[in-house]
Amino acid sequence: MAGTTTHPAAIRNAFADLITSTCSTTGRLVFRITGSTATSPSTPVATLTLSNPIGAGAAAGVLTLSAISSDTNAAGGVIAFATLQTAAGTIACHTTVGTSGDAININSGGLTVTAGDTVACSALTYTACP
Amino acid sequence: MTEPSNAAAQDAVLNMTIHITRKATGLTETHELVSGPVPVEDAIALGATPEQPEEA
Repeated sequence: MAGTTTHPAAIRNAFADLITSTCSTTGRLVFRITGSTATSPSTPVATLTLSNPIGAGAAAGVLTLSAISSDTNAAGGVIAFATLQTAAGTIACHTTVGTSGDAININSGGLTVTAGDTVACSALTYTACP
Repeated sequence: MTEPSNAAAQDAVLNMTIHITRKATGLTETHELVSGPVPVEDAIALGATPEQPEEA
């Protein structure tokens, strides 16, 4: 019989907090072009610096990141992936990203970033698997 | 005989709000981003085994 696997909050919090400890003191949020994998991350589009630690302890399986510093001179490219990692490149989380469609922008360039653009992140949450 | 699992994958989810300020125009766009399904390559790297076709 197939079923659903879930975890208690303490386990989910521990998993989310592992993201924080893995990012250690030099956490980065890196947006990347297509073709990225966890073992072979693709070219960065923009690199944002995370707080130290990257956030407070997780609650209900959700890690909410503290203030994130902008990249005021992005390398440029089309955002397709994102990693939470250390400055040295140790990856704690690798994911595809796409727009959820609830942002409204006139004459938007979408997720295409031109070299020299500023990329900021005002809110980021990591929700551990259920 | 074992029954194949049909449980749906339950992934961690990353949600973020990003802002791109265009150097050329000075205009700022806001995008709500959400993580997608885990790519097959990532799942394999993390130890998952691809589903094999059933034998005839």
